[in-house]
Amino acid sequence: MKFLNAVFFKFTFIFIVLFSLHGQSQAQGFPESEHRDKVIMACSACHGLDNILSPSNKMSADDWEFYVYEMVARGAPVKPEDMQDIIDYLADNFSTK
Amino acid sequence: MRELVNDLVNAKISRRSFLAGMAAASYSATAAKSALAAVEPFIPGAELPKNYVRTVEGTGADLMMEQMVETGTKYLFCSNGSGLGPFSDSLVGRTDMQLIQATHEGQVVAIADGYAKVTKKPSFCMYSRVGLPHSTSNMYNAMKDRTGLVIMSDHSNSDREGTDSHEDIDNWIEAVRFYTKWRWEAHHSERLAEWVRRAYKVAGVLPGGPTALRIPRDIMYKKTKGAIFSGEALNVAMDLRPDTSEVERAAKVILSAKSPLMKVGPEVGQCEARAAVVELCELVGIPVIQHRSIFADFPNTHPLWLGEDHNLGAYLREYQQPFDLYLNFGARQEPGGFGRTNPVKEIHASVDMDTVGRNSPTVANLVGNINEIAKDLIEAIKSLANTNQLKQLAEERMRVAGGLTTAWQESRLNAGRLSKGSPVPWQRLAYELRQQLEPDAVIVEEQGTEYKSLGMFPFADDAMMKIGRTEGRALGWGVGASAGVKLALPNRQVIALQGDGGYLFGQNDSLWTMSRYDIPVMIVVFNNGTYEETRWQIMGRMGPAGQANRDYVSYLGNPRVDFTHLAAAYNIDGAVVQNSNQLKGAIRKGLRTLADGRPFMLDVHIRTLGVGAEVTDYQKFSLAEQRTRKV
Repeated sequence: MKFLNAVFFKFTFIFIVLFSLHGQSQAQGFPESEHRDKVIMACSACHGLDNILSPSNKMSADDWEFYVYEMVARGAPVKPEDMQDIIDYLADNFSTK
Repeated sequence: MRELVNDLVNAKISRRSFLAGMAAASYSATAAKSALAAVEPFIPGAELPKNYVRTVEGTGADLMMEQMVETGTKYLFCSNGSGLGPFSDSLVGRTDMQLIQATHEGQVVAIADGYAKVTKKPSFCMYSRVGLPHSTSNMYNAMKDRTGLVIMSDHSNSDREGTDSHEDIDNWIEAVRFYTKWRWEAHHSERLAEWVRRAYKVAGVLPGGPTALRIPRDIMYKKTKGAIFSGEALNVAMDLRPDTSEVERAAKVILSAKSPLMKVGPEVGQCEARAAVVELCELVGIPVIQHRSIFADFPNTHPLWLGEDHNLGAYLREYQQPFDLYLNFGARQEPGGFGRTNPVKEIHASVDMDTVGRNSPTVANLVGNINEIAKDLIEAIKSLANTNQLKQLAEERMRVAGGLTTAWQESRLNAGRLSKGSPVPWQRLAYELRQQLEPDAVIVEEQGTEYKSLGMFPFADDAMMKIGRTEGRALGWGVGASAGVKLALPNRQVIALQGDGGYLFGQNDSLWTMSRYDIPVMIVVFNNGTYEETRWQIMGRMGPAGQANRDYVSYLGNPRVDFTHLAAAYNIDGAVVQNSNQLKGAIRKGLRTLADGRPFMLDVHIRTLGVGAEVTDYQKFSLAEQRTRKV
């Protein structure tokens, strides 16, 4: 479980321009969904999206739940009504089945 | 000010003229009156305040003790050493000075530091000359935090100085040069009280910091007599006001900003300026983020509270105006300025003139007490804009930031509540603590990624209080500091949040102190069996160690420390929690123990996460297997 290599190192100073060109190209790996944008916004506030896209970071649905709770508790800017949508989107699209 | 004082004591001007002159020089009325009170005894014909100065006969240590009591010192933090002999003799028959002893000099300083951070007055500690090197780690922490400490160690007898003899080296005092504001080796018994006064004064004036005295033992034993001044003689007015024209200029810049942002730092807490800073931010609607700090410098449940840097993107998405003004209140500057590659113009407010404008350009510099700066800015802004204009400015930003703050806080608590399992997710532990702690509990924190648990607790002047983590980041501070905090606030619940790695930097020695003196603190160890932050830093770089999935220095799991066993050795009760469903009962037991007047150790096995979380191997070595003789 090598997820979050960069999460903890890039936790600060990423603001003002949320979607850099790099971020936009990373976002292309995220399947279309009504929740896609809120996932990208929540995750990229603190770290690069390559953590999620990397095949070596595949996790179980339970792990995604743990990590989303962890990130939100840590202070990721997520509204209460969006939390479960984000977990479901990551579990559906980026988990080991 | 110096000229005014000179004129006053030489009877060239009246008291009224002195006060007028002070006002003209931008000092507040309170500051001017305080300065007058301090100078008054020296004005010809003036009456000394009662007991302003008296002569005391006794040993050098007696004089020091008398002077310390006059400063308001209640506790003498110490460890063992024969140099404490003169003080031991002085204590006989005294009831106005309480020793608080620890079994290691580093923890003595941590305890004194926690006490000083809360009282905002210098605390006094003393230990053996050979213990001085032990103590420098937490001395460094205090220096980085600008916390006032008076640190004293003894010295070889005068006839041994400079001989490189028993327990002595040349230039001891040089060893603490970079961790102290001022340091002195004393050689005259009759002047010991004077040096104590100086050490307190220098340590206490903002920006504060440790001062060090080193005194040969024979000097402290020697009979002498000297002047002891009352605490009033040391009272330096600290409500220094910023330059009025600079305040006015800054006010105009603030009013013309379309999207301001404030970052608050530790000087806000040190200057007791939270209320004034909140009023200033509300007046214009300035959202706030927190710089690293030993305090919570802005209420984290306030509608203008955005928390940390990474939340700014979400705010800007809704407010849709890029930041055009950055107010740095009481924090050291970001190297290169806020925004770095695209710096935003900055106003820097600080009590430390060496810090203002040091690392990046500014549009206005406000040097003075942060509380006075905030109050003066409020007045200046009110004089430049009417109520309707200000309301218009503030309303939208308050609405946007307030909506986000409320939502994020709710999410955070939900995430904590919903997390569960074994080992325990840290956020569930923080959530359960929040549910059971007193509304005004004090959290003393020393963890690797501190914000992660602190975000669960409401910090404000009328809510919980946060002390720590130190700016210096030298581990081995939190447990000792929590004992000092509890001594300063005996009627508030005090909880030490401690990483297992940080705890193991020699903090058992404070358990001895807590147990001996019945200091009821609950130590909560987030025990994940690893130095998680260093593991992330080292393995996360994906160099050879990261690619090989090897953890060389961070894994703590063999042996996995049982912290309740450590506590038991000091007659301190505790509980081990391995599953989130055990948390409620264990916390309840701990808080009952505190209520009964005893400390408590809560050892919670925490789930690891991030790079290398699953790695349990390390560079194996067994000396026993290397032996050729099994002895």
